[in-house]
Amino acid sequence: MFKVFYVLFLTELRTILSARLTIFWVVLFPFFFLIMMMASYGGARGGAGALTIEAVDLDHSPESARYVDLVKQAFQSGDTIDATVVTVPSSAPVPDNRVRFVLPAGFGASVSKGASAPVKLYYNFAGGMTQDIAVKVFSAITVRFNALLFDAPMAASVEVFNSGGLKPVGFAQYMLTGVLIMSIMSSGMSSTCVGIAERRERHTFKFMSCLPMSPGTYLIAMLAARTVVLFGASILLLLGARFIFGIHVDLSPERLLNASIVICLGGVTLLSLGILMSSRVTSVPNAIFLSNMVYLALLFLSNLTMPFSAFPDNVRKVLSNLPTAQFATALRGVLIQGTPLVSEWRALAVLAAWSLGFMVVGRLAFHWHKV
Amino acid sequence: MNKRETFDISKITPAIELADLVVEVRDKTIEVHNWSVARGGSVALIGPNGSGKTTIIETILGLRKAASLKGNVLGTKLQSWNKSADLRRTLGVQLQGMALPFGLYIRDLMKLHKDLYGDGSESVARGLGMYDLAEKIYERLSRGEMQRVELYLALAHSPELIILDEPFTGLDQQFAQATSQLLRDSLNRGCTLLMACHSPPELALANKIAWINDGKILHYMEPDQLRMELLGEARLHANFASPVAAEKFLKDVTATVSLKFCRAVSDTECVLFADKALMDFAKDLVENESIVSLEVGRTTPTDLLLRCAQDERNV
Repeated sequence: MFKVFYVLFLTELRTILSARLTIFWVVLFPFFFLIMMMASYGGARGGAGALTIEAVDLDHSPESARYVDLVKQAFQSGDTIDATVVTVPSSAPVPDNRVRFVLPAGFGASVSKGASAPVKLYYNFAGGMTQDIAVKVFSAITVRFNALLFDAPMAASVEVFNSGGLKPVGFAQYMLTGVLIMSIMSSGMSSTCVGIAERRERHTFKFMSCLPMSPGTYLIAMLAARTVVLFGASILLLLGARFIFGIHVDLSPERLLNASIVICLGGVTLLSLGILMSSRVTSVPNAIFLSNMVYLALLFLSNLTMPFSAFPDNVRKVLSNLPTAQFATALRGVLIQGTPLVSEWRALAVLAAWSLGFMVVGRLAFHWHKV
Repeated sequence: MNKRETFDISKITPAIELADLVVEVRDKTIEVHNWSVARGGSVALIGPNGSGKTTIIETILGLRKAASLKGNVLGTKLQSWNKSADLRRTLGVQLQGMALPFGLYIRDLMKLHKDLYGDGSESVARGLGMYDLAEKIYERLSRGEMQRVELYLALAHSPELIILDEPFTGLDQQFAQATSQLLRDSLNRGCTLLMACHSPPELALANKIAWINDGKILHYMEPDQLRMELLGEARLHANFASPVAAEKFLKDVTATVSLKFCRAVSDTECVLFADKALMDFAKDLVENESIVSLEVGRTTPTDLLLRCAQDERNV
């Protein structure tokens, strides 16, 4: 039986690797998708995007210089917005993708007397979320500036505590792990479902079903070959994210090993789901429809693109058990937050249970031919 | 101590035994009852398009769901035999409309076959010219080349039971002859052959014919016996000067000879089949000026195929 498995595994691997389109979707598309997300939402450092803030100081007073310094400090960490503060002449028009603050002549003299001196902000109101957030940050900067100016005592302060106990997941890291899981969903789950339906529709299974092998051996060989390909593509994506896009991901051998285990288990889970979905599907259009429905549901309900905080508590509890949600939890844990693999035992156990369930039901429901 | 006499039950049980096969296909019901293919036999399923040949084959192979299915293949119950990988090792199958996995070179497919069966006959590979195809990709082959690959995969492991659906489709003369020879070699080795066929070379391999029409096996007998039953010994092909002359001729001939079958090619051309009396009748036609041309001879397997390709409801 092992020999049959091995032969089928190699044949499936050859079939996958000989299809250029498959290679594009499995290996290259996640890169393009990651580039798109990074470009849209702020590169490797950004939280809510990247932005250039223009400073126009028409006052040239110590107070106006102090205000500009405060703005630079506020955006320095890049946690919220990956902003660069630059000084520009006042006559230049405001580009659509920038925020400009203008400190008018007389700003210093006015504020030192306690008189009102507005800081003027110019930006495209339809320019998007990043600019909106930056403008809101200016309100906080101005409150801080006033307090410092009059040496107001900082009686009330804010202290921040990490109730989860885990290191924060930056936006780029959140997107990287999300893109990785999404690519496994599309090239694993969806393409397996459509691929099996296509083989059934093209009567390739007429040939396969007459060979001396069991459907179970065939499906496991298919699953193993696809897991190997998805694993390879995932490692390439992580390396690309680290060394091409500069996303901060610790790729030490221990983390990479832990992440590999999670990726393989998550890959097996999603591939098993693809096999289950395809077990009775008789045509490619039906398979595409079904896999798109499941893909979209998992995409929005698994903390991949829409954070769980958007859902009520009881809904979140249910959704957190979805295979992709557990996959994301375990992957972000071991890869980004550096938690030991054993600490993710619950997520891994849930993934293993889903895998087993999908495999058993998928095998029982599987038919070579149209039923 | 006397040696106890034993016998191998596999040699006396039929290779295929259908007690009951009922399949619903769209608006038609395919039914086969109490039908068998002897071990070492070579059976051709013939009949018009859509008569149910492929459906019967695919149901035996477990590729179609049957409303009722009782019987055995190689001594194992139909419902369970196709679930056993070991039993499928004894089977060689080529089906119409079958597609092999995408993107594989023929050498990959040959290797897959050899690894799965542990056997890849050199004579089959050479006979079907597989080494010329080895470096080609399956989906880029011509129809005939694909057929050769599919036949190789069906025959190369010397199966005990060979099931083929129109095996000569797309083959050129050279490979049709080679396939005939390979199948004869298999039959000489004792294997059983069941095939749906549409061509005289395929029919020439059969020692029994099942004529299927409208979803049922109407006749199951040896080729010559079926030919005599359906067509008789004599065949007369005539062209007439006018439709009126043709009609008059047909009245005359039916009054004299009991026709087995008549095929109208056009309103001035027909082919008649009957027993030897038709030949005697033909002798008197030489002087008949309304007959433009006349050809008389013995019925052939081609005639039988043409006859059996007629939908019986329209005859």
